[in-house]
Amino acid sequence: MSTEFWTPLKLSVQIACIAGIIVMIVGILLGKWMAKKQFRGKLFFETVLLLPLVLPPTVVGFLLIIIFGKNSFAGEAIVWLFNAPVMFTWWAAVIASIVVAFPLMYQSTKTGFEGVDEDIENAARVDGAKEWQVFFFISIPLASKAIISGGILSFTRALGEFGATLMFAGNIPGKTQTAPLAIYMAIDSGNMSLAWALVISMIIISFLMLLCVHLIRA
Amino acid sequence: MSFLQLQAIEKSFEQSAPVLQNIHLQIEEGEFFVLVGPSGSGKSTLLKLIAGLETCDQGQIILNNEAIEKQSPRERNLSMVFQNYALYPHLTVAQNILFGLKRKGIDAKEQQIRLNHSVDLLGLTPYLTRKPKALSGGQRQRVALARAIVSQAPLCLMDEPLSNLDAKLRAQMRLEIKQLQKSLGLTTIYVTHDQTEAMTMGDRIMVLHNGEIQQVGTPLSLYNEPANLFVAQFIGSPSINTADAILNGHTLTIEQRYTMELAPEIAQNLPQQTPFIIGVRPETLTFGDTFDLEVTAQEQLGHETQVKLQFAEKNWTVALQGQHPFKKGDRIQLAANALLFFDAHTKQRMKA
Repeated sequence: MSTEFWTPLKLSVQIACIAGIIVMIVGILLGKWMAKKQFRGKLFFETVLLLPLVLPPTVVGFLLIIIFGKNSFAGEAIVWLFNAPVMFTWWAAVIASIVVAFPLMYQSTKTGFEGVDEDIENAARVDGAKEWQVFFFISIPLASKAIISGGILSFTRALGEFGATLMFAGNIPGKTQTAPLAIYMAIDSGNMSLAWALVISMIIISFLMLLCVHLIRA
Repeated sequence: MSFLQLQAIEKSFEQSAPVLQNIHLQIEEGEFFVLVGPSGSGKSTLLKLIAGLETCDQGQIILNNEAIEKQSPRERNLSMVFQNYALYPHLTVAQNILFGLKRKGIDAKEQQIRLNHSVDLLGLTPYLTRKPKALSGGQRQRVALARAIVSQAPLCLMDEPLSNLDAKLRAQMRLEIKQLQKSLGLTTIYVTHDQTEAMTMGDRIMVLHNGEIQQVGTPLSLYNEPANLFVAQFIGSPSINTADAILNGHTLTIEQRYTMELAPEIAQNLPQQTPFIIGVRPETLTFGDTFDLEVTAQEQLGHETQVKLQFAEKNWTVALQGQHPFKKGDRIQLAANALLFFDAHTKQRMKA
């Protein structure tokens, strides 16, 4: 098949993989930390973390532009560090995917870690395990179902990201034009066969992913 | 110097009454020490403090001449058996038992030796490759014990380890744990809410109530010479009978309606004409003519008959050897032979 089919699809999968890995690492650490920690403002903090789940993607895109744009502190820091702005780059697409996918991972891991019996972790501590050993040998294996299903859901969500990516990363073929954007462009230009091909690919990938989640949870 | 010493331990959780107050305790090497108390008495918290799973607000914990209260659980070198066993569900029996040895970097050969020894001891050899899910309650309990034994830690903590087992298995495991403890010379602190377990297993018992030590002593000293009314009521089954009484000369008037004469050497130690509380163990009541009471219910145990009685506004129980066919509404005449006396305000036992 043509490059106009494979390029956006490959790009989508790449971006979703990188975003998924980052989301998993941060989600596992934050989920574990939040699962058994009580502090003032926890509810507020958690609500903020989950907000991208319900906000219109355009709002997320707008906020990303404000936060990482040229005149912002983060934007200037990135230019200073990498000698180039992040907006309208491949990494911008990754950031947009991370933000929208993170709530799914966070919710899943936190529930998973909350479900781990504290006595079992304590037994490992008394048995001579260091905190990181308790985490890797006990907590993560016992929360593995939640972690894997959260990871898959995040990946699938990242794969389907459209609005925030369009605003923050643009629609640059070969660079930030992911499959969802390419579908939009294909319809816009009347290329229905390309649209069909991408749509069917997306449905198949997403279906298989969700099927995995259900198999893991069953 | 004792093996384990607790000095002035205090613990409270946020914005609530203290869970533990002023705990002083000494435990000797090789001792089977039981912490007993009703739920909420702070006994499990005390065990967690010793294990290092909670931190104490104040006080010192000294194990083998070393202050350990600031150490992490792994540095303390002790083992623990949890109420729900807390086995690692994703690991096999063998992996469960070896988990701690691997973390401590014990030599592989030595691991195998200790594993074989512990599973022999506890009859777990056929189950080594099973996951905990595929084991019965009693087998899980044994895995938890094996996991504690292989560590060869000199101090073992047990948090109500038998409470999830059925009555028959519990009685059997009680004996097994006690035998294991003696044969290994393992210093053990055993938490339970069950006074029968405490009495049958403990070399010494500490009774805890509302975070305060009520009494520490051997099982029989707690039974025969309880420090206060709480200990008297907590230790012994069926529970001790109590009544209000007042002494006039040598004549004791109980609940304003029954009278009995006390021996002069007993009466001279008690306050005259000041109300106090008497305690009578159900098994020390005998047929006699002090009390004339109505039967409200009875329980036939075969070797013993427990009869519930209406005693003024209170309920009393008498445990009679053998089988006695009483019916509800029957009257029964009893005498009390061994009385305990408690101050009406402080509830402390008065020696008489």
